[in-house]
Amino acid sequence: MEQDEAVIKIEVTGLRKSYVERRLKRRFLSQCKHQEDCKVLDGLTFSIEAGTFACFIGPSGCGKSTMFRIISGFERPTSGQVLIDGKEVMGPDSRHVCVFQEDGLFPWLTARQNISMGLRKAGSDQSMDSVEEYLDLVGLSGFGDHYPHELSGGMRRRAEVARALITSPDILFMDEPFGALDFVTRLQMREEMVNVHQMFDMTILFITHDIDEALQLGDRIIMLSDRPSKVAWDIVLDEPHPRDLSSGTLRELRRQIYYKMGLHVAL
Amino acid sequence: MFKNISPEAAAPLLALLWLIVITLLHYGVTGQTHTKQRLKVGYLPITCHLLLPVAMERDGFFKENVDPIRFSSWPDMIESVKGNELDCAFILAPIAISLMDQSVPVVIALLGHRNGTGLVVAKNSGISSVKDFVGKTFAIPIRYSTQNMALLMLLGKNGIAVDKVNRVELPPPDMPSALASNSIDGYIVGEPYATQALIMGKGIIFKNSSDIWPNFISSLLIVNKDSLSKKRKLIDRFIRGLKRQGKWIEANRKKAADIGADFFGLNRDLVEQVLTARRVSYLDIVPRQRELDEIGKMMVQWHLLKKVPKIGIYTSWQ
Amino acid sequence: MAMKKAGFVMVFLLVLFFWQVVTAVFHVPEYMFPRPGDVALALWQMAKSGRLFESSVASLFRVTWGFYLAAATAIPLGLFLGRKRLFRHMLNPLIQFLRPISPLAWIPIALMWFGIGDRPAIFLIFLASFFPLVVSTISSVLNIRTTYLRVAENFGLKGISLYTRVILPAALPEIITAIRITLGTAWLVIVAAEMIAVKSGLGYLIIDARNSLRMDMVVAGMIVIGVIGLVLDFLVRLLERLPSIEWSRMRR
Repeated sequence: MEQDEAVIKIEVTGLRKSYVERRLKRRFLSQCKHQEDCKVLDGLTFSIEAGTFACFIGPSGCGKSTMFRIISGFERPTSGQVLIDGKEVMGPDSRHVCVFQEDGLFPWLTARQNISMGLRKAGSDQSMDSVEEYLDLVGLSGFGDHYPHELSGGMRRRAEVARALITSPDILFMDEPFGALDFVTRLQMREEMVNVHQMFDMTILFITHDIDEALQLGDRIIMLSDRPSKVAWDIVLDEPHPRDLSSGTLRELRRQIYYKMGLHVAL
Repeated sequence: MFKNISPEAAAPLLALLWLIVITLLHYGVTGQTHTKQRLKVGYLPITCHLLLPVAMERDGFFKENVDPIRFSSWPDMIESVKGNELDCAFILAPIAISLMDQSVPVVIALLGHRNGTGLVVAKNSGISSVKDFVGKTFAIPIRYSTQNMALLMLLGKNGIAVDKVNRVELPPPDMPSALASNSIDGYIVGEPYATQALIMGKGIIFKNSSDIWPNFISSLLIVNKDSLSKKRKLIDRFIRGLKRQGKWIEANRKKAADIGADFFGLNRDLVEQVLTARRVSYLDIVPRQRELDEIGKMMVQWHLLKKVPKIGIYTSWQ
Repeated sequence: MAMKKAGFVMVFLLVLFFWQVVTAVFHVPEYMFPRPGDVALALWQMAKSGRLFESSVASLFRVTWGFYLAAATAIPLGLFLGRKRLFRHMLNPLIQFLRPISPLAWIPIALMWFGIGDRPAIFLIFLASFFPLVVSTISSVLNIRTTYLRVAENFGLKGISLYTRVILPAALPEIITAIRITLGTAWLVIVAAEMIAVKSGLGYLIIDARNSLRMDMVVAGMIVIGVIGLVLDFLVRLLERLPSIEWSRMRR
């Protein structure tokens, strides 16, 4: 816990989202019938303090991405309130940078050009040197003039993170950013995220389907139930970094999470 | 300096450069010497219009002051005449009369030639007399032509009703191959497309225009009234220059054929054959009011016109 | 690379051989289809007299202007309509109505509005290129991955800079493909467009040769048209190899 005043960065109250099922055939996992109101989020409430690394987990299709889009400002809720810095979210904000599930790096620009895009928007007068700095930071020095299609998946993600970081954002929103990567790269990226969080003072809202990932990264873990989603569990995780996933506390947590999700797996 | 231009920037620059280059080349090459004083004269590449190239070749005045403008079809020429873009034009007589009927401001100055049309019949059509035309298909260049009217005249003389023979409009250059492929049984058209069938060995010249209609007229020279008021002297000299060539052509048929073939881009032997066979004459080309009025009356008779218009002939150049 | 060139030469020689043999064996008369030798001679004559160069320049001039004008208007319009659904729904019926009307049907109007000369031909090329380009550009904008648009929104890109920095580059590969295809169509239309009373151009050369019953010149003209079309296509393909365009093909 922070010693000084805990500032609430993100406050979500009673968040609900429904849409009308337009398709005649049922979507996979959808219980909704044609023309019927389909509830995805059914009253989410939580608040996140500044500087927290908050991880969201939940079963597939439970609405994590929908929640993500609403909080980051790309969609409006059906009812409920999302406040950031005490103000209602009206749309996407350049101080709250998103890293989406799919590749968001602009393929027509080099890595360097992509990253410096973040520069201009921040309105700061940092020079090209800082682009080099950030390339270095994510381990891509020497690859600055490569185009995304010339980089591996992991390198692309890292470039995207660099692009996000160079704007010195208040909040970093990440929606299953490492899902498409291979196992080893994913582990490396996790390590980088921890470093990034410790280096920069920012709030991170991180969605993942990988429970171990949440345990490894999060100061706070919020679990969503199956749709219509509610908050099923909300805990604070105090473990210092680096974390050993086989340690007792984490094993116990994992067991509890599995149990709450209805999974019965022998550890 | 050029090393620093990225290919992305270079592409639009090159595109712009190309635009400039091709524009300069185009205007440079075609050498637009469009001084207002040059006469724009429309023609089609047929032997009916032979007076023009011969005059261009032999008369210095023409080289200096005349811009021949080639058209590929009668409808194109008609559009340009209506659009007031030509000072003079070689055009079919019935078309000229129809234009006057539509109050297009043109007058007739000269005939292109006399005769010069052949009625071709396919060798294997089994036609031995005009009576055999019944039920067969014949091509004409355009219904507003004396060729069409000659065919109708022929049928009339032989007591055949007009609707007993299929007449189709075809562009003259397509007629010989249509005959060869048996799509039509015969056609009537100005030279050199009649002789072409002979050369191809696919048809015979059944009748000459003079056999059907003595002193047959086909193309004539029309003058835009507006141009006449502005460039009178040039036009008078132009018409006189044309008429003069008639005598020369009669005396120098082979040479005239060479000039015509070159200018029109026609096959040399073909043009020579047309001229030496004496199927066309370039004398007696001053138009007479009576014969033109008669054509007008026939057009009404065959429903090509509702009433005979006033046919204006320009004579003051003589 | 050497294999490609060898293959191409072989195909070419084979075609020539076949052509010569067929016309000789079947005694095809010259007025129906000329021999390779006749065509080669006609090509040589036209090149020597400068007619070939003059005609090619004229046709290229008209296609260039017509196509450039079409691209300069159609692409921005397409980008805009791709983004603004309301305008798109309003204008789409009009576009889909005008598109299938062959440019050739516009000839009488072209002559009436522009007279004789280069301008009606340029107008027809413009028409032939404009509608396909608008439709393809709209489609390419609609195909842009939503993620890119979200990132753009996230970074606060708006207005003109949204178009120049995100919409256009993202849609560009598809637009270039559309350009390649439409340019081919435009070049095809020029032959028909030059049937109007202009004194020059490759299409005109063919019509004129046909009027003079010179099949050898007709085929020679066709060959030149084909070769230039090939070169144009090749040049646009070069564009496709730029890295800022190439990425679209490289997607796994």
